[in-house]
Amino acid sequence: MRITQSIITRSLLQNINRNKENINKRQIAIATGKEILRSSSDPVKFSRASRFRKTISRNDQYLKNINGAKGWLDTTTSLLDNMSSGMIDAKEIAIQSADESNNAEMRKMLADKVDSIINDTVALANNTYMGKYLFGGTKTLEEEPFSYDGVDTVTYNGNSNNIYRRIAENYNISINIAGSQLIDMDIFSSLISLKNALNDDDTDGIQSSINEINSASEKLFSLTSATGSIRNQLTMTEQRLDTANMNLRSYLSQTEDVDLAKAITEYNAEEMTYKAALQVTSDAIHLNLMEFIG
Amino acid sequence: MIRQQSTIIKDPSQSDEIIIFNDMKVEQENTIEFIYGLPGFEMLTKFVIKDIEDYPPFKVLQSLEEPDISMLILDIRLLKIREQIKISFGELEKIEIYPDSLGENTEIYVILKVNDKKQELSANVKAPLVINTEKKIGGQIILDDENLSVEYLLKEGLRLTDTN
Repeated sequence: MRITQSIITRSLLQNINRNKENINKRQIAIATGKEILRSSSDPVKFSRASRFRKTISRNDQYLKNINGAKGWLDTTTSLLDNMSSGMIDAKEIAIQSADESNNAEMRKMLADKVDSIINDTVALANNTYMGKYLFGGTKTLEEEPFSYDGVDTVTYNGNSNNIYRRIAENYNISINIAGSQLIDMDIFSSLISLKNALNDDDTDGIQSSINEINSASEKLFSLTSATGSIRNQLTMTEQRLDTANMNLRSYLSQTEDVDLAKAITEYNAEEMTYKAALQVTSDAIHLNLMEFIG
Repeated sequence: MIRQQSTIIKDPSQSDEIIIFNDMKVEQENTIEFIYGLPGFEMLTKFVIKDIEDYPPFKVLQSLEEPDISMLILDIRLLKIREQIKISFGELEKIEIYPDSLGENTEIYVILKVNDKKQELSANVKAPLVINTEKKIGGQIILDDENLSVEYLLKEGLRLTDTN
């Protein structure tokens, strides 16, 4: 081990000493470095550079779209979560009131509670993000997507269209949950059946509404995992675009009016080179790459 | 895969030496294949790593298919932050690095650029280049860690002061 260390160190020192001997050539070396590292005069690099700059600004636009889409989805997800809690509360009420010992008067009181859950759920479904209705399909501005008559009908005024965002070249992603899906999943109708059964003091009706609410809850939950998977797609694309922009900017560092050679020479003190070389050398022997593993 | 039949460029490490890239005898053994391309340069898969003479420890990752495309890179072992970098086995397997061969055949670099505002070198430590030196394949692995910066300033991150 020790021999290996000293051999490597010696050979590195030789390199470094050679660098020291070359110190008089430093001016030339820098000039050469510039030639290598800055070649904005090269017409191939120049035209490529302007193309890459366009790619970067297009990627920046995609990144903005992704950011907006994330906000939209996060709001959607938190609204769906709140709707789920409402469904859980309603189910609790149903289970509690299914007991024959509840009299009609108590059930009427519970019916009022369910009614306020319906109102809350409609209000959640009428929420907006940046002034746009989240659950109206592509009808995001005109009118609230849901209305409740306070009795037995929730009406959907939106459409079932998807809203797309372009998040990369040839990659559009749908970011919305159309409210028609909430209707199809019987979110509102299951709550209304429970409310009606409670008002009618109908034990069998209460029992069957438990099943309806259960099945609606499961479907609602599957929507949350759908928005979660869209969220993952957005994050992955975002990371890839970010990396692409950094790579392109690394290339442009050589061609644009930034002095890469100058930036490098700031790090090129003899001492730094020497110490850096030693650091790598000792690591070359002792490196345990396990620390890279997560 | 080399498109230009007679591509001749200057070797950045030897400014007066000319290398003919499609002379496979010379270059093939040093060619690293980035099977999945590099984000931003998806169409390019064949690269070489070269020293920059008089500027160690900086190196250049240079495309063989488009020889004017190159990026400045640095061995990650020089950066303090390397201790925070965790790469999953799943990602390493994509470039045929397995737990039993780990370390012997692995090199990790970060890509550098000049930070726009500060005009200083910064490293993208969120997406290191991992190279299987035995199989000559590599990949840029994007790490899912919010604490890692794409513009990690080199000045703050070099492991120099604690050397004895």
